[in-house]
Amino acid sequence: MTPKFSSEEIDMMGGIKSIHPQSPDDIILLCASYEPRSLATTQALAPSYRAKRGLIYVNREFLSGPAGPMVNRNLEILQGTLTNKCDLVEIIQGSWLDPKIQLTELRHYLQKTGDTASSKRRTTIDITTFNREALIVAVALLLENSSPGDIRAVYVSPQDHGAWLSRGFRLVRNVMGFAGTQQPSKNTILAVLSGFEPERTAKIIEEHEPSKVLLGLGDPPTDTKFLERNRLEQHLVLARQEVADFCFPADSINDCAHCLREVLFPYIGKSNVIIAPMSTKLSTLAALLVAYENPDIQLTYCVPGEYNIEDYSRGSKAFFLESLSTYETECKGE
Amino acid sequence: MVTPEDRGGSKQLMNTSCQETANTPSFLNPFAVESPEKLTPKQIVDLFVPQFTQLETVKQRRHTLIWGTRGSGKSMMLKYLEPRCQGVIHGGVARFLDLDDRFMGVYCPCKEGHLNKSEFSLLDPYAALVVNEHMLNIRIADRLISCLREQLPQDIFIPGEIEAFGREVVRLFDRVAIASSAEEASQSIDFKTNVLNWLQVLFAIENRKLSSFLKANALQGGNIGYEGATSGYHDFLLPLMRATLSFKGLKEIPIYLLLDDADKLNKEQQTIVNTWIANRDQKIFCLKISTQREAYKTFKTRDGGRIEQPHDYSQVDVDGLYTQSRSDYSQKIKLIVEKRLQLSAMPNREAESFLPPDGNEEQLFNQVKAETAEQWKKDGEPGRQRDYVYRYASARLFQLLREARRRKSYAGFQNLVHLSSGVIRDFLEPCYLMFDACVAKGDEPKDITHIPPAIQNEIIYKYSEDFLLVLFEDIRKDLPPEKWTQVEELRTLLESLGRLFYNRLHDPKSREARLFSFTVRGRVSAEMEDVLNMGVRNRYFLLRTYSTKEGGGREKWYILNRRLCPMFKLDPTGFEGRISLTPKLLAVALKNPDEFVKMRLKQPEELPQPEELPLFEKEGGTGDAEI
Amino acid sequence: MEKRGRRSKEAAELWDSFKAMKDYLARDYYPWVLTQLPYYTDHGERHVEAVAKAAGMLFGRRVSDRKDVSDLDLFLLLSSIAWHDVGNVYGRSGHASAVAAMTDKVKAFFPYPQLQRYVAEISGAHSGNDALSGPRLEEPCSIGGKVYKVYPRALAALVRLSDEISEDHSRVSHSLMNSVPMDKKIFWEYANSISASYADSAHESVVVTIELQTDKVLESFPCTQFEARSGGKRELPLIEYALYRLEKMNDERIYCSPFLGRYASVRRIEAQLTILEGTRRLPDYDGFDVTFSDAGLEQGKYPDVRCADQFFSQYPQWSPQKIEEALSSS
Repeated sequence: MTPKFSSEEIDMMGGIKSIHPQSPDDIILLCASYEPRSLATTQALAPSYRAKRGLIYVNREFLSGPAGPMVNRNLEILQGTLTNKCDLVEIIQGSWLDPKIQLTELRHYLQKTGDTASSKRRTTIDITTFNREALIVAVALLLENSSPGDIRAVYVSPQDHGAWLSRGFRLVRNVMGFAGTQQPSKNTILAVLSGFEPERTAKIIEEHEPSKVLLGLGDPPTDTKFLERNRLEQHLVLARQEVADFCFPADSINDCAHCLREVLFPYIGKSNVIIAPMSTKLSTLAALLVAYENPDIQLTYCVPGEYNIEDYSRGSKAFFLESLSTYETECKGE
Repeated sequence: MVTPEDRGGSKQLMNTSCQETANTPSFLNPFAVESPEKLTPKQIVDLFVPQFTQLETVKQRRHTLIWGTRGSGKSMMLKYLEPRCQGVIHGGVARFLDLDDRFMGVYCPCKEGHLNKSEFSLLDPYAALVVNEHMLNIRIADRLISCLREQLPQDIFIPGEIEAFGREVVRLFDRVAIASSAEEASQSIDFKTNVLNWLQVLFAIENRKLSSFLKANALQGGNIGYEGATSGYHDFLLPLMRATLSFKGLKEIPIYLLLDDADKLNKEQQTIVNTWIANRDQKIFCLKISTQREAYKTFKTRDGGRIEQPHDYSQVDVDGLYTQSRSDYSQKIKLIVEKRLQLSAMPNREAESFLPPDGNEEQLFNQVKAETAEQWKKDGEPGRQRDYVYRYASARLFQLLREARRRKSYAGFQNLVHLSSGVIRDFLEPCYLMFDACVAKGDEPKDITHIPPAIQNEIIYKYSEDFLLVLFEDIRKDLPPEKWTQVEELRTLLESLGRLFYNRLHDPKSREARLFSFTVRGRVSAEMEDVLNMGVRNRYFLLRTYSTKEGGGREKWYILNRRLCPMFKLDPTGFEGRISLTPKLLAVALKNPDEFVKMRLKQPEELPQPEELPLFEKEGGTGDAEI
Repeated sequence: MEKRGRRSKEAAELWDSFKAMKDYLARDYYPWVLTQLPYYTDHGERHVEAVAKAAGMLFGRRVSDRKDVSDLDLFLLLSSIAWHDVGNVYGRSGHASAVAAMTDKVKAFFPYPQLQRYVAEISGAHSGNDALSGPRLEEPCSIGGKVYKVYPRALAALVRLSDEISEDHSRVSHSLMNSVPMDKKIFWEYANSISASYADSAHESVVVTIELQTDKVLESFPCTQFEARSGGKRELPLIEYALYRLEKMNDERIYCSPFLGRYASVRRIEAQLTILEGTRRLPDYDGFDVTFSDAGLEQGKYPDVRCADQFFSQYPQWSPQKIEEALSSS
């Protein structure tokens, strides 16, 4: 279970401190988005919190257009906050539409190790407002240069979600670095961690045409509309597939990863396995961990048509703090 | 790889469950659309209707491009060409291989995410080309070996032949580059006793090396070297095919590489395939490539040339059947339905009676036809009675139903055929839902003798609504915000046309009531062109051409997708006469349906000119007009 | 290019400029290219024409038909080929880069100033292990309102590989074979042994046929060219030298390929080796086919694919010792 704290509890603890009490984090990585939650983590940092480098990721498409004012404002505030807490603050201008820019920009900044040996680098990452693809890529790059246990994820849940979060999809593509290996002689298993975009689940299944769908339903459940199958399209697409349901803990990275390993175990090595993480950011990182351990697994991503910029979420409810753990580190008891 | 055996024990999770619960229906719906890859060869042969498919063109010893929308039956056709399926038809694969017109179909699906990996965009053009071609080659090689192992009777191979073949294949790679993969393959499979399996393991190892390279190049960047083998056309693919032809038991059989869903290849991969086509080595192997037309991104070859039809390839348009001859299409659907009903052992295996029209409406229609025949006499018997009745009776029916405030029934086999607008899946899928609905109402699946018209209508109206409303949402999300006005304009255009055609159909004074298409006379702006193209791409319009009265050229002709008929209360059997719009009028249609309808109705009604009139089928009544 | 000149005014202008430049070089430089380099193989006008022909063969489809090859591309290519060895008049060392200064003196031959820079860069990149990093990948160039995209590096790769494969018996004089000084002999003997060397674009390969006489195949000649490959030896038997040259050709092919891809694709060298006694072909050494290719993707450095070592390891009958045994027993 991921440690979970209310804002009051965080206050009582004195705020979020560095990973190691005696030394600053090497990196704090945040995302400046249109959501007010972009600021929640930095506002909860302990007065004593320090990091050598503050990196703020922003999707360049949001710097202008309807999201521009909010994003620029949040970016400015984050910059200001981090300037007081970090030796160096840098902005990473990524892209949610162009995966090449997304990757190369993140890689450019995250490959710099500074004066810390790469294996000892400690990173706090606020995963709250990253889009899922950038989140996966960012953490994957961090894992190339750090031990999992030295990467701490912070997630702030909202008081309330908007009526919809994102709608539609533009295309399906694999997350850069996670194309996996597909052997033509094997069938395809698609594991979908469904949650917030139920109407697009059918689309991703249709695109991949798997021989079997493992439909993951987050527990606690986030949206059961998909179960109702009130759309003919969903009904028809699912009718063409063999479908099995499973539940996964949507509020814990490591518990979810553990669950995924169990669910996918019968298929790894025997089938082409694809995971579509479409649920919480915590479960998205779980999918990343499992794919990182099993390079043959593909992570697939639906680029959404649009985001609900006006009303994505409201308020901040609870803080989840969790260090990553791979299967290897689990075994070692780290 | 992670396995639970490696762990000391499993973790107990609170309040979670990782158990799968099976979710497959317990009955077989005769209209279920299964992926052909899941079907056995016998099932494929049983389900596939070879008539009206241009299969003989596909079987010719030429490179062929097979165009068709999703659900039009392309994959089924390609799977049908595999040796085991041909063996089912001809009483055994060996027998088939003895025929004069034999061939060996090697099925190579191009699935989403298998070949079109995002990481290719990170490579420089040369590296991307090398890696793409090698990936394509080993995939095809794997499928070829799979075909030799699983589709052909093993006794056709002479002892020693397979080993020689295996050695030849390995020699096609650079010796040093393939050494480590060969060694790894030998650790799990003995080459001498299991050559073909060994080769597949070799290709799997090469495939994994490529994936590792792509991953490392993405996450580590820099000058990551790829140290695996590479392969091209002249140094690998062609000699591989030649080596296959040299099996005595295969008797120089033509090899057909059946590339399915080639629209899932990235542009570089399609360029590579085009280059293969351009080499025209059809004596050795032929490519049969199925794809959606608008998703095949390029016809260019690697050296900047272009492949052209018919010099480099022949083509087959699976969707074309409907536009070429609707009676043939109707026949084909009938054959498909009756095959399915038979295979599902349904008590009633006759398509027309399984999907009956609304009895009351049929009665009314017969009455209207009789009255129309009388009117023909009163009007001085203009033309043939049959033609007159055909032209006016259906419209009169719509008019009567409107007066009586009765919803038009679209039930009935022929109506459903028309509504599918040439896409087989668009016929089968509503039928699937209708059958499900019957079961949901309590009918025993094996006892169902027909789908009641009420259920047919309920589903077909919803299917039409989904097409118009829900699909629009999907299109909108596919586009950047700056293109959303185009989506709105397309929706408005459909609304405008729907209303106009509705008005014409329900106007007793209209001489040409059953219109269903339009042309634009004059030059349209680029923005209007975009909207029309969007409509074609998303199949709201079918695009054809016609020769102009003035001669010297062909104009575009947009035909409404019949799936929209229930939404706009139009006649799906409508005669494809067309109205012509000026660009100015079209511009109004994109913005304001009311204004458009008003303006267009004010114009005098134009009748299609005699030379433009399509030929009527010889069968009377609601026979289709053949264009 | 002449053909294109008949169709377009710009092409005609470029063709005229090229012709004038070539005539100038043929008059003022080609006859004296080897003044400082006595008994080098031919580097004069005939060699220039051979390189141009090789480039044409690498292009494959008739160049006049290729829409991806502009008139400007052809002008730059032919001009660069025409200039590429002219620097030898001042000596071998630095001869490639000397072209820049030499073309500077005759700017009038270039219809537009920047074309001189392109030619200097392209021809300057035909020699040196990192030379192709000099020219840019892509540059815009507008002439009379028409905008071209120039790909200097791709053109440089094309010149370089064309030069590499333009080695055959026509680069030496058969009459002077016995007069060649010992330190140059190995180059002449090797060139003389190549009966054919050409690009087969349809099969994405370069074909080289080598015929070695029994009295020469094992003869060792002074050679400093492959000291590192030959364990510090300063002389090599002709058979080994021939394989090292093929290996070099393959390395050049690998080095040029990433940039050449725009215009041509060469995936391997197909060599055919024969040992002759006079006109009699020796059995077991008659038309032996071997393919040199590569594997993997080297990004950013000059390749070092040891094809020669692999060859001798895989086909020991071609080692000098085994050939000697075969010749003694026959």
